[in-house]
Amino acid sequence: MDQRAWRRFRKNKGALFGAVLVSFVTLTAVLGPLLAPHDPNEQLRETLINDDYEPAAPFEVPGHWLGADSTGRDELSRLLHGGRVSMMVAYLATLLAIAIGTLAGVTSGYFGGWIDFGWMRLVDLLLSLPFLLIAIAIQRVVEDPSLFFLILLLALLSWTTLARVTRSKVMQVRQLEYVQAALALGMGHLRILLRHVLPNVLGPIIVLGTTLVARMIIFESALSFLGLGVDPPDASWGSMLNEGRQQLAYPWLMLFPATLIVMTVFGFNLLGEGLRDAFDPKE
Amino acid sequence: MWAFILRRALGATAVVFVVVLLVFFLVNWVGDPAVATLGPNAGPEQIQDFQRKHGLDRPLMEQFVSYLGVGRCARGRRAAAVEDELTAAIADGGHRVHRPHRVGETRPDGSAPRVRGVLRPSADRWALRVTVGGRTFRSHGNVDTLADDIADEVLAALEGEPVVVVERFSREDRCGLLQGDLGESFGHHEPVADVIAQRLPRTLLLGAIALLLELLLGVSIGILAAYRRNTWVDTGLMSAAYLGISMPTFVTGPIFLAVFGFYYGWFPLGGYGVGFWDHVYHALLPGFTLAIIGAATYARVMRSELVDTLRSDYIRTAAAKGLPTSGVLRHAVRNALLPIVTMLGLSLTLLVAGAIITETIFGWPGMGNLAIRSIVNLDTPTVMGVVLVFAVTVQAGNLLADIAVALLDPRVRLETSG
Amino acid sequence: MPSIRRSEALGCWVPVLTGLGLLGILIATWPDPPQGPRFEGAGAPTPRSGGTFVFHHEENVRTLDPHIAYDELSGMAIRLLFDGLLDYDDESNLIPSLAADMPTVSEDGLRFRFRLRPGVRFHPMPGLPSGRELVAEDVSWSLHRLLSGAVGSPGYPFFSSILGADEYHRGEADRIEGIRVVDRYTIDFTLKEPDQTFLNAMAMTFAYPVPRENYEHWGEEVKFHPVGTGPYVFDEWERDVELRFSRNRRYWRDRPGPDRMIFQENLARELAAQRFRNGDLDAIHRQSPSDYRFFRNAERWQPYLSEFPRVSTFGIGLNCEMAPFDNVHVRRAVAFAIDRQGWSRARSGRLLPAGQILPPALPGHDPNLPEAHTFDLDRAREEMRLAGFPEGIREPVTVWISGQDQTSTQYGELLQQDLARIGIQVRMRFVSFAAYLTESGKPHTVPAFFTGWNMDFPDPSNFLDILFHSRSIHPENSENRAFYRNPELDAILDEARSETDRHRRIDLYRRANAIVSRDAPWAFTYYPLSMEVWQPYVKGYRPHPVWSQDYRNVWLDLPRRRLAERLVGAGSTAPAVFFPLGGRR
Repeated sequence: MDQRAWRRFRKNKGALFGAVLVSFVTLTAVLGPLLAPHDPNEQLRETLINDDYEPAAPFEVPGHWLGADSTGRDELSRLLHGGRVSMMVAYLATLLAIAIGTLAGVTSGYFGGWIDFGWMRLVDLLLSLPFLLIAIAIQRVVEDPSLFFLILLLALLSWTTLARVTRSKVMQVRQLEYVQAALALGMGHLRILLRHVLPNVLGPIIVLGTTLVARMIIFESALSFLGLGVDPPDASWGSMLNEGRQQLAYPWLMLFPATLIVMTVFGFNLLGEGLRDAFDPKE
Repeated sequence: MWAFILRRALGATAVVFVVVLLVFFLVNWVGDPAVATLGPNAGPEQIQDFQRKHGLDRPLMEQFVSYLGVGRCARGRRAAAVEDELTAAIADGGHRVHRPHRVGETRPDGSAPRVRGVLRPSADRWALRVTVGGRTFRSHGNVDTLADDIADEVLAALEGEPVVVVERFSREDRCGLLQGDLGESFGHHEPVADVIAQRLPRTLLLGAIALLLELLLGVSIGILAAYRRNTWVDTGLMSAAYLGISMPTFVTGPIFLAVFGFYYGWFPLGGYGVGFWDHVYHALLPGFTLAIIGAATYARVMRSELVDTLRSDYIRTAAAKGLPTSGVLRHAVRNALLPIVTMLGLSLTLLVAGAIITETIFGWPGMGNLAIRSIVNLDTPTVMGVVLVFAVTVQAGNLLADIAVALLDPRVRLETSG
Repeated sequence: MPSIRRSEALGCWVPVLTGLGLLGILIATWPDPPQGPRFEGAGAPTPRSGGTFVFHHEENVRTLDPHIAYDELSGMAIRLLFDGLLDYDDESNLIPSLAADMPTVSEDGLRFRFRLRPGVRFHPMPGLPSGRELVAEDVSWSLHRLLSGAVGSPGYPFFSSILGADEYHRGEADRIEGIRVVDRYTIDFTLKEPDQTFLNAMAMTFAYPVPRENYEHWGEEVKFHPVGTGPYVFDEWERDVELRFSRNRRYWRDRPGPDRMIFQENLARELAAQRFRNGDLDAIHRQSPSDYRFFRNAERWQPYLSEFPRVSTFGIGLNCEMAPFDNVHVRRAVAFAIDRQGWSRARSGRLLPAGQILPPALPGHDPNLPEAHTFDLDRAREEMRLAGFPEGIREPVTVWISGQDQTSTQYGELLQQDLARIGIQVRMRFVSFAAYLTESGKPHTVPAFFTGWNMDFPDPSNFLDILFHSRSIHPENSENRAFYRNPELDAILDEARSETDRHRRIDLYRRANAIVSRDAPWAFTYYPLSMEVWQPYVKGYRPHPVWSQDYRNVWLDLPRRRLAERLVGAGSTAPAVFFPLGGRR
């Protein structure tokens, strides 16, 4: 990020707010297990469920400040660990999606022709596949649907937009005089790609990548919401939300994960927008 | 222009075809529909029977070919021979006629008829079950080969038997996807087309209401924000729009349901209702849930377009010449609506995809609900039907968006036709 | 920038202020949810007809053909549309229904003669706009259809003791030898061996007589067009939404009741509970733990609810042919390691700890059974030591769970924690119900699984024979999913099946029950407590010990009146303004 972009970014209050949210969430995800006061999967059936069979509400039992879920597990610890799962999935899936998307976009934009045609039809195809259905179907075949599988699925689902944007940007860059000159001088394709093309598309990739993390969090939660995703007893925010919505009598079980999901997505969206304005000032 | 549309349409068809191919193999790889459909008490015989009836015992590639209906659909000679024998007295055989065609209802001694044939098409395959004097003959195959294996026995057994009952005999000659036949649902025992025809309008109603709300809210908020740009109204509305984009339906849905459905009781608690206006009433809350993200997106696009337009020379000129503010706004809005129109196609896709979760939350008995249930129960023909509808919708949406862009933006038209 | 005049500036404040105002009103008038019923009845002293009764189920009805239907929710509709020859009274005793009296039985217990009640009419059907009388030939035809191999009814095994049923089922015979129509209203059944459960089978919904004309008219589609003799006539079925019935005005037992019934299908239990509290639904029967807690503690609902143990048993099936559960000590260790009270706490206290297969309502249940499974960690560890695993088992054990909703996940997690204490690591495998049934029916496939059994009829054989007799083991589709084989148990069960002396029979089942607890092919977990709640204006309804949600005797005390808001809690006002009677009626 060059100096001017950085200055523009710093002046954007929304983007800064987004950055604060994002770093806060990322930090808690990284440090979550250290911060968590309890074992997130330990069921304290005697202490955290009262004799009227209600789980502890927030601030009701000292030491369990955010209350407990209906199985008697410390909500705060589950949120911290669940956040770690959600964030890890989102980040890794985004990285993978960026890798695939950039490869697709750069090669199809740079070489054109059949490579371009092939990639773009693949994009069309992926956009027309009902992914949620496929996820449910595969979930039923794979013996142990692991986190890795989830990440792969999310990445496959989301690289398409990135590929399209990168492709059009590369097509522009390719027409630039110095790239044409390098080609004429007989410079190797790989060197041109790395030296001249990639640096030019880095900006859009970072911007799109940031908003992609937000989308990943939503997708992951949506899958967990339908009962797919992480294996119990581990939790993610999405699966906690799903548990919560079925127990409206204990609203905190729904409100905490819901707030966290919205806050995180909001943060990443703001950050992405701020980055876009910084890289590509329209006004 | 026409060449462009034609080319895109061809591409879209190819994509739909590949989607159908992929999903067909995926779903069939997932598990055995026979077991999933027949349930716990089915014996191995019943399972075999089911598999043969639906052609599940054949190689997958063959199954796919017959699902597509590439082969000939005319009725074969041997099949026709048995069939004629069985249905000699049938006067009409339109596929809508579900009445049994009976010849001699009971035998003189009052016992049940002894010959009973059931002929019915399933996909391109026909299943024939003939019971003659307590013996049951089963034959499965496409119409060319049907009954070949049992024809002689059946014809022999029929000798001198006056009693023939044929249940639900259909002469419909369509078979396979390419001829507009989606097969028969395992779970519902109805043609998939009928199953979908029941649910699709419900999802479309929900989608239409969501789209309406999206446009109404998005455009008006966008206009308001642009009109009062750089004031706190603008900031407030745009922040709200931002928050809206960050609110997935699975967060907002349950909250709305709890607050407006249960605590306030203003809206029904999920479900579909009876009668058109009741359906609309039931669709409002899920529709709104579905619309939030779209509305927020439209609001942001509308605002930025409108701000650009208001700043453009011709609007400034018009304003300087004394055109009243409302007139200026009307001109500008008309111009800024163009990108919104081009976005509608993509909106369609999002609405169809989003329906799965929203329908689950609100218990809306539409395509999303059907999709989840059929995949869980491995109702392969229904899954394929749903996937097909989904893929066609997405492609149609993309196509419409492309055409809209091409029509509205001459630059793109040049590029695409070049 | 166009100039903005003052009035216009004010104009655009209006929506903003309105929005803020709305939000303010929303927060200020945040209502408490209703704590009690919103409506009450008019106070009619005697049963009366009229109104619409609305009930629900969370799943989809698959079929209304009584020969095929074998689940609770189809049964709810079938009990409205059809009648059986026999029925159960409120104490689970068999009583005649379409039969004029209880059947006469021959000395050897092999011949049963049923006399039909004359004058019973089927509902209108295609070709017969005013229906027709039910005769013995209908009973015969229905059973022939039920038992034919082509129909493939899941009810077939219950009737296989009829003479010639097997041959007919296999297609080797033209008719069932043991079924004979004597005259217009009399029919004889002959069994090939004494079977104490034959009359129970005849009272199952499978044996409900149906008119042949209707089946011949509709063919396979008959499941959407039911015609019976029952108190309600089928009107319409909007798929995935609701089924509609109207009162059979020519019912043989003249009785007042609601004019219409609406069966809402596919309605999630949380939504149903909320609709019920808002007065849009007249009865509910399944609740999430938190809704269950609410109703149990809600004072004003108490007169209108009933809580009772269902006649079912739940447990963890342990495959006796697969390691480590081929070792009886490991199985017993599991049985002693389950903290049943803790499970109940996590499920709002609605699970009754179970230690034996026969639930308390069935004869043969022994409240003081010494072998019964209880939570006893010391004994569990001792059993693990006896099994040769004092340090626990290193390999994780896969437990199959059907469905993956919140409930099944929670049970899995509860088991995980309990077994971790004795050194068994549990890995959960979530599969669809269909996959669970198929795979667990094959030998050497599923090591452990969550399972349960609901009674088909109130007799111990319905639990013990089906679940633990070695006859229920097959290469595919075994009902004995634990693959438990014990010749001693088999002998006792065979003896009991044909034993005619009631006391000796019960005693045999008591012994069988003890053996099963001792060998622990299942680790028994709980008997579920059911709760049903109905609106104050719903009269004549009590949960039936045999039938689930049998609404055929309901009548409505209408017009219903909205209770004062003060009593209900600050409830919603909007619907009250538009619909003083709550809309529906």
